[in-house]
Amino acid sequence: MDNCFCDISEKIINPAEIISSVARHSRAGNSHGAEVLFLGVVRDHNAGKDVKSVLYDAFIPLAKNILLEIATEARARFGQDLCLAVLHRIGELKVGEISVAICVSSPHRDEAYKASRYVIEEIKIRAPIWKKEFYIDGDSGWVRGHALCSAGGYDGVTEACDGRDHGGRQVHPHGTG
Amino acid sequence: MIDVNVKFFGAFRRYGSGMVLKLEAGSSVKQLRQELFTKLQKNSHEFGSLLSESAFADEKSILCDEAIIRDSCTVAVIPPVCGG
Repeated sequence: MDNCFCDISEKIINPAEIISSVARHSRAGNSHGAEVLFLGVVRDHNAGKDVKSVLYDAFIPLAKNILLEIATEARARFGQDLCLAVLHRIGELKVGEISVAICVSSPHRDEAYKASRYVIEEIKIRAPIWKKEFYIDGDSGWVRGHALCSAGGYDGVTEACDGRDHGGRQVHPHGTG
Repeated sequence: MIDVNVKFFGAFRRYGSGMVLKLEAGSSVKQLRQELFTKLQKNSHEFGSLLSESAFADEKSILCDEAIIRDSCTVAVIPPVCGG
């Protein structure tokens, strides 16, 4: 495993495995004294409604790139010697199941806590991942999220995107660079 | 003309998994947005509102409306995100 490992998968997240994968890399040199693990877990309630299960959807290739980008930024901000693993599960999840896991190891605990917090907060506003909730009363709906483009009523006039400035970047065929 | 395969995610899934739009080579993402609006807004008055809050992206990054599409390709419509 490199210093950063990121994945989007339908596979059930095993906390012991993610800790182990980071530890294998960080403990080899014996210079890291801290390992922080964050787990996002499906809650049984949201916005006043009782949740039965959720469905996570993702544009997988871009989501993996964004997760890696965020992990790389975390290392740039909090220490290039950090080891990070970021896993986000997609598909159907029941209440109590783990949707996202972030494991960070570092020489000291301060940067591990900060990097972990940074990663989850950035995932929530940047990763192309969506959640649909299924409620006990039979209702369901996609959770309202963070727009990556400026909002406004669309009346046929295009609003400028507030995402990255590509300066007239060409879109490559078949989504490849 | 080129074929742009537009993939749908999240709340856009109610309109299917995606669709192929025909555009002039050299069209912008802005024009793609307009074409998508034209094709689907008649099916739902909510579509325009959702589209206005959505970005377009390829596998590498989010695309600005000024980005140019020269060849047939695949892009995704990205509604407001809520992972984690």
